[in-house]
Amino acid sequence: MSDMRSELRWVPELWRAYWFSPASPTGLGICRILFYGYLLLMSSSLQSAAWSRVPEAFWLPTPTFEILGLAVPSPVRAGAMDVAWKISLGLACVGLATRASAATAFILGFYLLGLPQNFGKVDHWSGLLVVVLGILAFARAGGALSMDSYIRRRLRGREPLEFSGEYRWPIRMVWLAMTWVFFAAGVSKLRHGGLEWLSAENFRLILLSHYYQIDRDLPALGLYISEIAWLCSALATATVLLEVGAPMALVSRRARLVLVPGLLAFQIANSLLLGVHARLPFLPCYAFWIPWDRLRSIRERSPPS
Amino acid sequence: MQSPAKIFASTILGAALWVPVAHWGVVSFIERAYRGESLPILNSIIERPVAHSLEHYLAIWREFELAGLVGILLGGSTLALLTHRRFQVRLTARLGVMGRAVDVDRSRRMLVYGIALTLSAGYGYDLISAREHWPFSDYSMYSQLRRETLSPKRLYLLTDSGERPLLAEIDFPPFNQSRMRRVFARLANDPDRERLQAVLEAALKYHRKFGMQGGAAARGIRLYEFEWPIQARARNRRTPRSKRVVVEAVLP
Repeated sequence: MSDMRSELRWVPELWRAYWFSPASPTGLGICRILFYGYLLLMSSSLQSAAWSRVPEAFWLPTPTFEILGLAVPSPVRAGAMDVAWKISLGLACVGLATRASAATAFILGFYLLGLPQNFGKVDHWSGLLVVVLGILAFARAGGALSMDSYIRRRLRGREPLEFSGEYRWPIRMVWLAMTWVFFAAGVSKLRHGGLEWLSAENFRLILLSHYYQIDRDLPALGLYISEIAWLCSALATATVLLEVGAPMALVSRRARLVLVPGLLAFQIANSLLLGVHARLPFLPCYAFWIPWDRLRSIRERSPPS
Repeated sequence: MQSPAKIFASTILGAALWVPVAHWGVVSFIERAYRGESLPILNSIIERPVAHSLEHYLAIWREFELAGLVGILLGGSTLALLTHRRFQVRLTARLGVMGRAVDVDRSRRMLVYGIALTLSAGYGYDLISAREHWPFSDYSMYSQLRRETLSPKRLYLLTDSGERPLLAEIDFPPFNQSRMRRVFARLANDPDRERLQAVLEAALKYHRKFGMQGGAAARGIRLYEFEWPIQARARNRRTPRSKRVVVEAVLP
């Protein structure tokens, strides 16, 4: 037993280094700006007050809202919360009072993005955004490219923040959440549909079924693809391989290079061909996969033109 | 010295033992407990009067059986890998993070591990149980095999000039079409027809008040069930094979 323990001594060290090896605050700062900025744009279509008017017969609370005893707010409160959420998103985006604004954005986002889920259908795009809001609420994301860091340096005369593990773990945590989402989607396909899910016929039916809906105007490309059996089968297999293989991206740089752009392309294709999640709500989460520190060091090393 | 090969062999042995125990041993326990013939403590696991068929309880167990097998194989293989010297060298090289000083204090590290554990527990539980606890989910959209025939439920508004499909974004904001479809597909399976009727009436009143396009003109609402055999290039998407009224509500 002690042999085994000594052989595994490197594991906790690697685990700690995986989450907390020092990183520059700039990478997390860029992710913060892109994530909150995109959410702020998306929030323009938020109409929380309208949910207050929906007849009670349509209120089918999710377990989360039921356990927490959350209910529909009055239209005035919902409107006020909408405004407060947008302000907190804006402040978190520019990095002013970053920790307080990120915490507010998470609490209000949890409620406002969760509210529509209690009316008959859970939108799968909203969960990940709330999880990322939660991660950033605990992070120290205002270390660079923020009003907070400007004030710290210029007005209080403090040194800019240095590399720290505090700027590594939030990025890795978003990776963890995203890989869970894709892995779960891949496993569910194999679990409920079996290997038959990969068949050309099943994929063809998925593509075509969207053309029978009345709320979307889809391009003819999906119809063409549905007629090419080998392509349908290849796309179905690629989808499941990308999703089930997503956890590999957590540990392998090479896998990341293939899987992350592959998953993004798959989501863009979903949006174009099926009209699913047309506004690409996951898009800002992909910013966390870009190695900003490395890009910056490459730029600094390249000779001036 | 625990060699990776030994650990792997123990894992296979553990899995080989788990299969007969879980597949036959536990199943026979469940069958006896279902009939109330087992030990009182085991009998009490199944609520009385029995609410579900034996198959229901066996299906739940089969999920655990599979999860147990996957857990043994995955856990053992991971342990075998972690004790493998070459894997250690390659993994640390690939991650490229070893040897750097960690400057985050213990309480913050525990907080971060707590977040990672919460996320993994939330997603993992929903995946194993095939249920949804927003913001977590098993993300099972599009996971069922598609059938050759579609049978969607759709709402139509009745006006003096005839009927037209209800477009949720315009006629029933803030709902969208997919939410509306899901709600009524769920309600249509409810054997309580009065409830469905009441929801439909509430929907009509709501539309008359808040619909963005001629809401006041609607005097009734009708839920249809359509049937479409999916054809190549969706050629028949404008002409369903059948259209049946499920329920309707008309207001004075």
